[in-house]
Formats: sequence, C-alpha cells, structure tokens
Amino acid sequence: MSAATDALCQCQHATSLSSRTVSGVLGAVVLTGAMWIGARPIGRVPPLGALLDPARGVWALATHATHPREATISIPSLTSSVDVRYDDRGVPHIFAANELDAVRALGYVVARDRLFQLELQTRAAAGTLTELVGARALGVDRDARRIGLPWGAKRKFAGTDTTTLARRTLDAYAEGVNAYIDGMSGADLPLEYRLLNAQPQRWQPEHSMLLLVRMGYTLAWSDFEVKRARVEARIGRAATDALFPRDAYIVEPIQPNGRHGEARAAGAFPTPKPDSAAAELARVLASIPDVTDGRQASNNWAVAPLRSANGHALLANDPHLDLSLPSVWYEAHIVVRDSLDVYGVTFPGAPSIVLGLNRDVAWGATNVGADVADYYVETVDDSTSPMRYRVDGQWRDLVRSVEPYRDPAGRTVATDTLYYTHRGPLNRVGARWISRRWMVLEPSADLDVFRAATRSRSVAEFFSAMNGFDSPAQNFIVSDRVGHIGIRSTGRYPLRPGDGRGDRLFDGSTSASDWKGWITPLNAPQAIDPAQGFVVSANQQPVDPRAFPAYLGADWVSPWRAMRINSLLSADRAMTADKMRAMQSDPGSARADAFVPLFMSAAENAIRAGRGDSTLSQAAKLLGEWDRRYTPDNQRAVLFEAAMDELVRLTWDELAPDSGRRVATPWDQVLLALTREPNSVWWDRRATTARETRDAILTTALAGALDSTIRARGPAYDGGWRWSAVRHANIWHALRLPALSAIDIPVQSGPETISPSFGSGTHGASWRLVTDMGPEIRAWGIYPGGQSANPVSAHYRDRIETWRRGELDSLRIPASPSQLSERHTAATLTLAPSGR
Amino acid sequence: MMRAVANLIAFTLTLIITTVFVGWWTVPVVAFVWTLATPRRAAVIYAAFAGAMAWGALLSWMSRTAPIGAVDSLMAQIMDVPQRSIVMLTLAYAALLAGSAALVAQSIRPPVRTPRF
Repeated sequence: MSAATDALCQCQHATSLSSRTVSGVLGAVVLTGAMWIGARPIGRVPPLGALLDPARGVWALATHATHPREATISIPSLTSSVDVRYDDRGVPHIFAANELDAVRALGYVVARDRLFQLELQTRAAAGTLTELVGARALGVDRDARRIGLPWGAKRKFAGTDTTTLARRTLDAYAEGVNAYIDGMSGADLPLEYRLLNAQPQRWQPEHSMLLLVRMGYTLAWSDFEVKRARVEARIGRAATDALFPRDAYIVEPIQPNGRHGEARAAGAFPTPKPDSAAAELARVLASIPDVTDGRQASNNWAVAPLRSANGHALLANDPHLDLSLPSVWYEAHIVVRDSLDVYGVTFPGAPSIVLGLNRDVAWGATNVGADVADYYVETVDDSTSPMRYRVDGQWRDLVRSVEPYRDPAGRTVATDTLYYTHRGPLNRVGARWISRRWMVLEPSADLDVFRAATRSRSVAEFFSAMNGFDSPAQNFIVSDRVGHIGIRSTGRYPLRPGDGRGDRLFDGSTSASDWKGWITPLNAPQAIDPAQGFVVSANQQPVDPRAFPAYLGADWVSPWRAMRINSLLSADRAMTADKMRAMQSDPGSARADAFVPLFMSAAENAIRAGRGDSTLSQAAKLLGEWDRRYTPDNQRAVLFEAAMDELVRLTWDELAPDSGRRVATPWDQVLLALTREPNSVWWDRRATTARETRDAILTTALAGALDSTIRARGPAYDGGWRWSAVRHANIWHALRLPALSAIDIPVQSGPETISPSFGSGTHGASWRLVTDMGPEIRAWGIYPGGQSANPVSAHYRDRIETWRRGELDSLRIPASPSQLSERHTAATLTLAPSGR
Repeated sequence: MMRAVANLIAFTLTLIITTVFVGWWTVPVVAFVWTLATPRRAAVIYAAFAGAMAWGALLSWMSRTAPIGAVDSLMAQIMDVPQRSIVMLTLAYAALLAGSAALVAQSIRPPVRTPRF
C-alpha cells in the first residue's frame, strides 16, 4: 500500500512538475510577447505599453487638455519673473519686465501649446522629415534641400551678428522652447510623437530662420519661367505674352490712381503657333516640378476716419493660406513695461508678433506675388559630376555638399550631392545644369524688422521700420490712432538686365545676366492717406503699369476680390467695424458680375435668332434666376461654376495636348479681355470643323453646364444644387489623419469671392482681423482652429464654427494682469528665474 | 474571504501606485513578486483581474475631471476600431501583463496544495 502511494505521489509530483514547466514556459512566452509589444512598435502601431499607460500614455492627453489653473515654472535663463495669463479663448497674455524675457516666455507658451508643429515645420524646411517619419518623406526632404531652404536658412543665420538684439532674441526664443522641453514629463508628450514613437528635438536659434524660408517658399516661390516654356511650346511667344501677360488686363491698382476695374487695351490676341525651340526647352524643364498653384489669396483694406461712421481709422485683414489643424497661426499678447504692448498672431517659431496691433497702430498683410526668382543655365566642367562652372570665361569652383538623409534610427536612407553657384542651388535638369537665385534665400534681417515694427507709433514709423523687410514681399497695410492709413508693397525686388523681365531663363555663363540692383521698399508701390479715403489689396498687380513701368512680376491674379472690396467701400461713407467683418465673408463676386451678363446675352441672342434649343433656354432661365451670391443655400452658383469650367475648357483647348490636361490656364481676366474680340481665332475649337465665335462658345458652355450639372446633382429644383453641398472647407491635420482634422465644413465662399474657396477647399482665410483705432483700441479676430494642438482640448477646434459663420471673437487686450478679469482668466502661469 | 478581498485591494493599489510613479512596465514586475509572495490557486486570474482593475480605476479617477471618453473616441477613430475599444484594450493589456507574470511566478512557486486521499 505504502509503495503504491509513494509511486502515485511521485507520479503526481512528476506530472505537476511537468505541468508547471509548461505553464511557466507559456507564461514566459506570453509575458515576453506582451513586454515586446509594450516596448517596441509593430509596423505603424506605436509601443502599446507607453501608449496605453494610464498615467503618462495617450490617456494623459485628457489630463493635459487644459492648462492647470495656476502653475509656477523655473526657467534658468530668465532675468526676472514673467506673468502669463491665459484668457478664456486660450490666448496667453505675457507680462514681462524686459523684452528678452518676454520672448523667452513666448517660446515657452508656444512650445507648451504647439510643440509638434514647431518641429514638423522646422523639419519640413530643413529637409529632415525622414528623421521623424522615415523614408516616406524622402521626396519632400529632397525637394526642400535641392531648392536650398536649409542652405538659405543657414546663410541668414550666419549673417546675424551674435552681439545684436536680433540674435539675442533668437537665442531667447530657443531658451524658452527648450525650457519647456526640458521640463516635460512623459505625460506632456503630444499625441503625434506618441503615434510616431518619437521624442521632441531641441530648438536651435537657426530654426526660426528655417521657418522664415519655409514661409518664403509658401508665399514667394514662382515658376513663371517653367510655365511660360510649356505654354510657348504649344502656342508661341507672342500668344504666350497675350495669355500670360506681364501686366494685368484689369487695372485695379493697390496704389490708387482713381481708376477702378478699368479694362486695359489688350490688342488682338495673336494666333497660336507651336514653337519647336520652346518645346525643346519645355522638355528640359519638365523635370522641374511646377509647385505653384497660383491661387494664393489674401485681402486687406483700411478706411480713413472720413469714411468711417465713428470717425476712427478701421482696418481689416484676412491672409489666406493652407488651412491646417493646428492653425499656422498662434495668437498672443506681449506686454513689456514701458516699451512694448503688442497683440496679434505669430507663426510658431517666430520670436515676435507678425500681424496684429499695438496701442497706436494696427497692421495686416497680403502677398504681393512678385517675381523674385530667376533661373540661369550654367556651363559646367563635367556634365555628370561638376566641380566648376564658367562665368565670363573664367571657371569658378562650385560649392559641393554631400547630404545624407537619415531615418528615425539614424540609418542613412539616401545621399545626395548638392551644388551651389554664387547665385544659389544648382540642379541637373535634363541634360542641362540650372541654378536659381531666389530672394527668399538671400541674407536678410526680416525677423528683426518685425521686432521694430511692433513698437511703431504711427503709419510713418511702421513703414520706416519695415524699410529693412526683404522677403517674402507683402502688401503691408497700416492704420493708426491719429487716423492715418497706408499701404505699401513692401519687399526687395530684383532689377534684371535687358528689358527687366524675369519670366524667362538667363544665360548663366555671363555676369551680365545677374541682378543689377533692387527696387527697395522705399520706392515700392505705396499710398498714404489717399484722397479716396481707403486702401485695398487682394494680391492684384500693385500698380497701374502706365504709372510704374518697372517689372515686379507677371501673370498677376485676376483682381476680382479687389474689385468687390473697392466697390463695397466706395459705396459706403459710414463704414463700421461690423460691416468690415461682414465684408470678409461677403458672398458677392465681381467675376460673376462680369461673366453672367455675357452668358445671358449670348443665350438670348441665340434664342432670338432661333439657334437655341430647350437645354439652352432652360440653362439661361436658371442662370437668370441667380443673384450672383455664393451663400450656402444658393442653388444657382453651381450652374455658373459649371458654365465657367466649360467655357475655360472650350476656349483654351489650344493649351491642351490632344489627350491631356492644359499645360497652363490663363486667368479669367484674360478670358474676359478675349470676350472683347468676338471673332478671335481663340474661340475656334480644334475639335470641330466649324469656325466658332465667342457667342457660340458661351452658349455651348452654358448648355453643356446644365447637362453636366443635372448629371452630377440631379434636377435643378430638387435641392441637389445647394452650394453647401458643393463647396466645403477642409482643414487637415499635418499627418492627414481624419480624426484630427475638420472636414466638409460648409462655407459662404466661392472661387473668387472675398473669402475664396476653390479646388480641394484646403485653402482659405487663415486669420481674420478687424480693428477700430479710436481712443480705445478695439479689435476682433478669428482663425479656423484653436490655440491648443491637443486634440481633446476644448481649444483644439473651438473657433471653427465661429469662423464658418463669418463671425469674429472680441479680442481681450489688457494693459496689465489686473485688467484681465477673473471671469475671463482661464489659467495663470508664472515663469520665474531659477533659484527664486 | 475578507482576507482575500483585502489582499486584492492591496495588490490593486500597489499596481496603481507603481504605474503612476514609475511606469506601465511595473505591472508585470509587481504581479510576479505578489504572486511569489502570496501564492494562491487562481493566481493568474487573480493577477489579471487586479491589473485590469488597477488601470480601470486609474481611468475612472481621471475621468472625473478629464475627457477620457474623448481620448477613447479619438484613438478609436485613428486606429479605425469601434468606440470603447481603446478602453477595453487598455484593460486587457494590463490584465495580460499581470496575468502572464503571475503564470511565470506560479510555475516557480506553486500554491501549497492540501493532499486529498
């Protein structure tokens, strides 16, 4: 019995041991797996442990969705305490004892709200996105480096004197950003870093220069040369000059001269003749990406006291940029005792307010769209790996730089050799080597200029401070408390040899092709207190070319927005801030006013002459019902837009290969000028044997538009034609994640309304400001998005609905901390020097 | 029974404290040590339950003042999974960490069994 029991026990023990071993191994395998996925990313899924940790994982986004009601932080570099009050809109009001401490605080609060954005846009300009997101960003990085963005930023930074206040400002900003990064806990990490399994990089002073060149890329990249070559290949130089003219066909200058919306004599539009030499050049240039969409838009206007209801100068500005979440703008208020009190928006990364107001002056900007870049065909000593290039018969050494692109683990994913001439980056384009000189990459003091401008006390002082501003050229508009208003197309514009035009390639083998000097801000187009009592800009040609013959650029955008603004301002001698607010999303369109009568007239003539069918009659009836407004519930704008698309397609068929897209599309102002030639050869369609005239094309376009609209949206009276179903704003997050974006926002915008919306709807009014410069400064503003980049914060997208409705927030501008009431104070942050 | 409940609460509190003050990876460490120190029959389920309860309690505590639901909803959209999945995944992950560590510990020091004859 005993032996049997012992045997049974031994057997049980052995079985138990074996079972425990199996369990142990199983447990170890599962545990190892759990730890592995906790610590390592799997594909694009970040490490689960760090992500799901309730205390410092993604859940911490919730606990950090609002700033603590009160906080005190030590910053080593501060010289005295800085009091930061966040108002109920999430705007920090920075009260500092000196300017550098204020800038440190600005860097700190921007990093606190927008850290990932700071890094992403810096890397985009530096061409180091691969280090953050891997090889999928290689193409973007290569483009950034090949066009010289990091090279230009380095030049600008190297050009700053380390002893100047400008340089110390850059350093102070970096100290503020880095103080935030150094004090971060794991719970503070923004969502994007978690998703990418990355950590923030430290901010370097030169990163602000990267931001500057990046903005230059957005606002001042021009490829007129590339576009012209493609067009010339198809229609010849003379016709290209007519369709993509140096000067706008509608004279609506920023520098007022009493002429509004005047049609400039266009002359006969030349017959298209393909140009084989240009075709060869176009083939060469085909590898240069045409990145300009040509649809950059912005508005600003200012009204003198004599035309305002309350006798104060009023100002409005709405710069249009790519819409994004978080916004490209960050709102802030900086007060330095007895020296500075400025409110407005800054680009995260810029150490000052860029657009806004102080206690005496308000200002805004629109893009000039000037031609500030040129291509040079260079002669090199070796067509595959050049070391030198020739100028005036002498060989000069190229600057060469071997550039590695690294992935997040530090591995090299690609390497490029970049070349630079004295003009700028040199790239191989087909069989040629072409360098590019671009104002954006020239050494400048642009950031320092803003520092001075924010202190100005009058329109004159503002422009004086802006004399050093080079690029990207902006139509700065200003109003002051005394009642002055002014506008100036501020920037440095190159003077070229020959006829002065910069929209063609230059011979790089001679120094005679180089820029000869500059049109400086002092002699740029401008107006102060013009007799008409208001000034306006909307990216149109700044001057009447008859009065200002110097070349600033070519192929100017149609001045429809400027015409509409001028028309509304001219008609009202009692302007108010609220009317200006309403104007910023006005649904009217000068373009519709110009083209609808042409469609209607052509249709009525055709119907009267018995050439119209029932489709044309119906289309004319429906278009005639339109009030020419792009309101969300409008049901006829869709027909007009379809008719314009058809008109463009039918008219410019010479610009399209037999089976392809147009190589370029002239602006609608060119189309309007062409309508003054009803029998021009340009109305004739290549696809038909008949000889079409203007009216035949207009009626065909209108009837075709009705057919296509019914096909796409159903019958006219069933509600499918509502404009809100057609036109949306789409505000994407930089990582293009729908959950972090705001998509399909119905807006009161048309392709050429004051608040324009076109294409994919990703472009629009990125900031709206209205100011009333009376004894007491009043200002209203909005941008689509919110101050915080934390997607679960109440301030992530809280302003979008207000922006969509065309409304503005009243801006709180306290002169001291005590002036911001307790009710409007959301949080306070005290930044203290270390050791106090 | 009361002792078991008290033990569970102590275990859960320890997991909460180490998660908050050290990090997620302490969950298996604590579960391993706890199971070695207090072996029991259903140690794996017990530890998994404590892990899920610890992280669940933390999320509940945070949700009093913070938009935990918004984070869940946001992450569900980003990861293209149903609502509440991220909360469930979080609890399941804590359970997995604690339970697997307990399984290893149990294989080293099994619970004392009462012989049955």
